[in-house]
Amino acid sequence: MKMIIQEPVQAAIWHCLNHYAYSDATFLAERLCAEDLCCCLADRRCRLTAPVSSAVQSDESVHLLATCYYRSGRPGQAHTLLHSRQPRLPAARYLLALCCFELDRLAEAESILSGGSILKPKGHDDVSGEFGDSASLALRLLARIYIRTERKAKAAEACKKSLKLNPFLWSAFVDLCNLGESVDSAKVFTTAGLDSFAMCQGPAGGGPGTEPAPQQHHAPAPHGVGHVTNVNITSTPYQTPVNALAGGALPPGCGLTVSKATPDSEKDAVRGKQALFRSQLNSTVGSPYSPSFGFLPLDTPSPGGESLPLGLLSSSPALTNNAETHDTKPGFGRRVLNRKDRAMLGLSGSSVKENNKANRLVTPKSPSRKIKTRSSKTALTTPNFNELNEKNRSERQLKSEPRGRPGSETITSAADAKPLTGQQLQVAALTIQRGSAEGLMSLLRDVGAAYQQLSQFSCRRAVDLLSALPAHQFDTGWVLSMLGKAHFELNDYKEAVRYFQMVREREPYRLETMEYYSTALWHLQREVELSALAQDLLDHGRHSAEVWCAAGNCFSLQKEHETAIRFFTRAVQVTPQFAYGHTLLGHEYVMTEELEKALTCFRRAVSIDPRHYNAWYGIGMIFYKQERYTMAEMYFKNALDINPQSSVLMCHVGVVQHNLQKTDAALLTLNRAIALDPANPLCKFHRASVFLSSERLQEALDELLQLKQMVPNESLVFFLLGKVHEKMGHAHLARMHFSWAMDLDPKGANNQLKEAIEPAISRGPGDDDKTAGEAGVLGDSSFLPADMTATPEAAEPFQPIQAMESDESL
Amino acid sequence: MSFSSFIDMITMLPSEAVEEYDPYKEERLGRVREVGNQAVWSLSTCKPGFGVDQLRDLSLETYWQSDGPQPHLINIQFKRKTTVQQVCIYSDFKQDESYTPNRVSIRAGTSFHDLRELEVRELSEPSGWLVFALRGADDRPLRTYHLQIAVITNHQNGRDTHMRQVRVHAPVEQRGVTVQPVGSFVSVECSQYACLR
Repeated sequence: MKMIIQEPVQAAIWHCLNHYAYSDATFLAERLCAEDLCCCLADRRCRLTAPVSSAVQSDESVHLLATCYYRSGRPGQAHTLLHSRQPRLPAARYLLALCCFELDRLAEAESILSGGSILKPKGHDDVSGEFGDSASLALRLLARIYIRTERKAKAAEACKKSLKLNPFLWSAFVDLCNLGESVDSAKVFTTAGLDSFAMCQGPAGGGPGTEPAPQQHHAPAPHGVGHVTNVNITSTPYQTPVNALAGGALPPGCGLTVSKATPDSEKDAVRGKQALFRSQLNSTVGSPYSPSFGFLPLDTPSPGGESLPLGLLSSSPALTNNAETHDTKPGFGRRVLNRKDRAMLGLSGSSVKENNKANRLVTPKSPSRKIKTRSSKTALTTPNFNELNEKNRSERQLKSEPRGRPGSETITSAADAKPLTGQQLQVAALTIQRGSAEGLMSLLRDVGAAYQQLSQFSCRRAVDLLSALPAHQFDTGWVLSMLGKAHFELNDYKEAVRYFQMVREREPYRLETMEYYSTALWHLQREVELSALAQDLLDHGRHSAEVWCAAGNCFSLQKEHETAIRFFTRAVQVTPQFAYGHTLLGHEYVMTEELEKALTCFRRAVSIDPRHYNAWYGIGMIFYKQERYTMAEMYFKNALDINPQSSVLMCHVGVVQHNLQKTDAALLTLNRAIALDPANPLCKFHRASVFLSSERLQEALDELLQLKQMVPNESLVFFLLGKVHEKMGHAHLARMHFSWAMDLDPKGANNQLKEAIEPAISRGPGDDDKTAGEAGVLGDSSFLPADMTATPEAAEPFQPIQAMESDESL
Repeated sequence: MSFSSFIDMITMLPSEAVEEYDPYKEERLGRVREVGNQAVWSLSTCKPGFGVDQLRDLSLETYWQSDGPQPHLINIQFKRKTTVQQVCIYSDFKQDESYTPNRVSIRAGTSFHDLRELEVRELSEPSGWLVFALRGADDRPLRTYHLQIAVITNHQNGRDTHMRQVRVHAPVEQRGVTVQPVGSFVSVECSQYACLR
């Protein structure tokens, strides 16, 4: 009796979830859970059904309810529910761990994932064994926990394991790079190591999901291939990227892998799906690279094209109809459970998920969804929901049918009556899947290599690698923003801004790297663009730390530091784990002279991300301001170790070394900086200053003259030139340069200029009156060039005239 | 006329500036930094609705009105010793007439009991911003915990005073990481390399 209630209800719940009607789904799930619990207890009392299956059932409904809570954005409720019921389903435990992680209960999450006893915590292999198909994601979550708790080595290990199990988890690769590990993307992104695609395809056939239930696939015919024991393959159909995308209609008994719903897999899936559609549009079936993934090749090796299922899940028709923009057929594989399977899973009725043809065995779909071909479009009819329901009721009595399938729902090569054995089918399926995924893997290898270089701050290399990507991938927001970031790290802010502008044009909703865009604009002092950016971003997402960082940068540029601090604090509140927000807040505190608060912020940033070199730099700056140069040098060097190609950091190190009287070391560092980045005028400026203070005046002069060519508008260059001339005794030239410097500094931002000019003016009793009389108080540029060539001796002739002047004044 | 006296004439202008001194502009340009928010403000007396908030809001329409015996005091107490470069007061005789301060004294120290008078100024029909540049001992920038602005007498011997706005400015620590004690770079080409963010 309860069986009949269960399946349609579960189907209804999944249907609601797939259509984002979370409140409906939650309500139904709560009712189901209660019903289940009651029956469960009843069963146990009567000992009618095996405790296992009832436990499984109630576990499933609990898991379903928890999923509903989680997807409604309430991890707290999901957590409380799962915690109290303690389900044994691995997928449910994974969900519980995920909720714990999101609620910052890291110890609890860790104990769920890799608990064991205190004396003998489980190793990663145990974890993967225990979680079955969700293993890769469980390990990924474990890695995140390790990162949060500063156990880098274990995190790296867990990430690597996770990637081995499931090379589609891009975020694991990202974390690995961000930890500073040098990872070879070619080795990571390969499907060769995969026995099956079950790991990334969701529910293993098994009920509790731990062992794959030996499902019988009555697919005919032998192909004799190795141990394709993975039944898992055949049970795949339920997950395809669309599943993941739409929250997938997962069959109840099949170890609900909510893991599919994780953003990681969704991202990969989405990408695959996009490519899929593109591929369908482009109709280059089986073409070598582009669109290289997301579809299965037409000419499948396996006979009978059984390999390409076309089934529809019950909820999927509606789903797929909605989810797709074009009218391709749903690429869902369909997996039909035969009676035996169902019995194993404890399902009595057939799943509503099943297609109208019960017990049809269909080979699994690969991660991509593409189906056979468009030619089969007509062949496919989309059974509607009612139809399926009807058929479901009748399915209970159906026996497993080994062969034949109705042409209409299946693939084109309709008349395939040739039966394949289960094994043959599986192997064939695997090969096809591998081929299809290979395209994505190849892309991921390239992209991964570029990201790896970027995380090691070999930015030029990263730029080359990224530019080598195929045009359609290159033109996406992510790639362009990575290029922007690469140029940002090279201190080439103009280029960075150019790339970020391209990103904004293509994907105005993209928030990820916008904080770097705003900082680049801050460096370039482009107020208008920055405030426009901040406004636009605020329209798009007030819940995102990057947006508040951009707003803070905007106000900081306008010198409204109090407001900037408010916004950066908001950014930090929104996402406490966002290291850059803390760094920016720290910089603002430095501007308002609240150095202790700044130090706290920088330290927090560093504890979140030890490779965040900006924060190390910030700490160094604080010590520099306090004139504790030794500490400053240490921290600047720390930052430089992380980012060795930053000429700005090198300049800082050089200056500090000079302040510590290590002039030779300073010069070495500055020389390195100039060699590394000839476009940075400050390296030369600092070198000239060092020469000046070491009394190497001629070299300083040469340096500054070169610098004058590089940046003719910089007041401080002239100021320094003035100082050099002053030391060399060319008072006239010194004064000229000082007045030039003052001309170039209309806002009077530099009080030192006036202070420097004062002594110059009051020196040499004859000279100053002369120049004033002849050229006006502030240097007259037209007059000056002629004087530039004048030697100091030219001052002599002025003397006699002065005497006359003073007579006149009387 | 000699050059030096010419310079004197140009530089020594009356503190009721000939051209309008705009403290907000100075703050925006980054030449000074307003630090009033880091302090606790209190008044000797005030009329309800005409208190510290009206003194510190950015509006010149609202004002503080005292309500007690002279001298009227504004106390500014910082959490830590703060470098203060100048205090700007907005005052307008045309609007306030007998409420306009006539003699203003600026004092600084560590607490109420050891305030030292830094400057006393006689105002005559002021109209606009008044800038009181403050120097500490030995002509170095003033570092203080407590700043007090005292209104000793008003125009036309008025009892109470109006004050429309007060801004406290600290010098901006402009020095970047440089060998020589220079300020900040003027051109964007240089300043973008001057720091990391």
